Amino acid sequence: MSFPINDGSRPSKLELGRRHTGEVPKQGSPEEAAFAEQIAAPGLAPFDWEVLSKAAARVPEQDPLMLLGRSGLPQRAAPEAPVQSWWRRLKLAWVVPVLVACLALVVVVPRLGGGPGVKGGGVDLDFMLQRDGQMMPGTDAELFHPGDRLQFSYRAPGYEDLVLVGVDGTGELSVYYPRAGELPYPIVPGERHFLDGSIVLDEAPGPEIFVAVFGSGGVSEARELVEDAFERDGLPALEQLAELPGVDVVRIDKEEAP
Amino acid sequence: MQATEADIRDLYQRYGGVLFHRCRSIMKNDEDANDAVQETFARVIRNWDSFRSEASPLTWMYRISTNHCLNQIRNRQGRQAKRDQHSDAIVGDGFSRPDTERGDNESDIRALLAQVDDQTRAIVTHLYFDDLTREETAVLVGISVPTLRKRLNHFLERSRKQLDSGSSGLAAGALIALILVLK
Repeated sequence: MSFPINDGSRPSKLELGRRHTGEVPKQGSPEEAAFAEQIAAPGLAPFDWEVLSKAAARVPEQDPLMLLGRSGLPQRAAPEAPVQSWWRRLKLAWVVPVLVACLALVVVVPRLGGGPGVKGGGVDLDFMLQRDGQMMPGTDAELFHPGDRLQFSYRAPGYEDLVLVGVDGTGELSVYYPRAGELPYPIVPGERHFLDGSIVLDEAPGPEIFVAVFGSGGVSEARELVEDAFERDGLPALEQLAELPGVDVVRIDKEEAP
Repeated sequence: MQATEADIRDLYQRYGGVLFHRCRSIMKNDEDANDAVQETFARVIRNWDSFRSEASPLTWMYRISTNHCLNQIRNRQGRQAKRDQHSDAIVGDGFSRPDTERGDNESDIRALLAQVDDQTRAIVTHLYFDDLTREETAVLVGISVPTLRKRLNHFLERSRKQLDSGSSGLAAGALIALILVLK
């Protein structure tokens, strides 16, 4: 059974749709008749102005579905020079004596940190909260509940990918972006963009920390960074990761179970 | 200027069926397809001024609904993976049960799409589910045809590797269908 690629010898479904809706003239082809028959099949919900206008009112100002360029995809900002993560550079330094590497940690890291007050070396992780059908900035909520839906956004000048890792109150670590595989999740450098999809909070107790690692060498590397910090000093150490260049952290506190 | 109920009713009558049918072919159930139509019309209402200046309202709606459907596929896949971790016995509102060879393959292809980048997902969706030509897809996604071919080859190569490694549970039929359609 095969469905050979449409080489233009037949009208595409978009073209048929445009003819069907009168955007372009009909040509009376058999494909058009078959298409019209398919469209006539039941299933479409009846028009309901109240439902649609309420849905429109819920559309957030920074609407991820509307953050589309002419291409139908998030517009790429002018490319900036990719920034290589500091620990990636440090990793290369393992070939030199440990003493030199330690010295580099002491001297180089504070300099790369950009000085006091520079959060995450210019990157920023933020999120919108969807609860009971309402969207709001994540910072507007003090406590979060199971079932809350979080959609993350980022601003990352100079970075082309990220890994987003979450650690819940039980210490369980989850990689949310990318959803699978070892390669980091590709992002658009520069101004704020939303990540595709959203994360639904489960019933794990306690706070949850989300760590965005920009420009990592891969999922394993980012996991390692988070696991090491967590093993060292638990959730507080994860929050301190925000001081590193190319890393930002979001903490959410969940309502205590009754 | 704001959209009136009459404006949107006219558009719904004109475009609702086409959009629903198209979203249903991607999502495989009426409920999700109706959600996609609703979310798309919500954007029409919110962006009424710019929408009215569109040369092809259907193409505009295709873009919005594609993004919505692909987000849902990715979310659904994530939820499914989480359920699978916790219980082997869960059945329910995951992917629809395939009842044909193409249905079988489409479930696998959706699973594959949940793992790739936005642009590749949009390309495969337009070519496979919408039956668009390469040229139409390239315009809709905003890339050149040679770039589209490269992305497609990369996707097929990745799918092939997953099949070889047996890590995805991808059925051979899905890959064969993909290659037949997309090459």
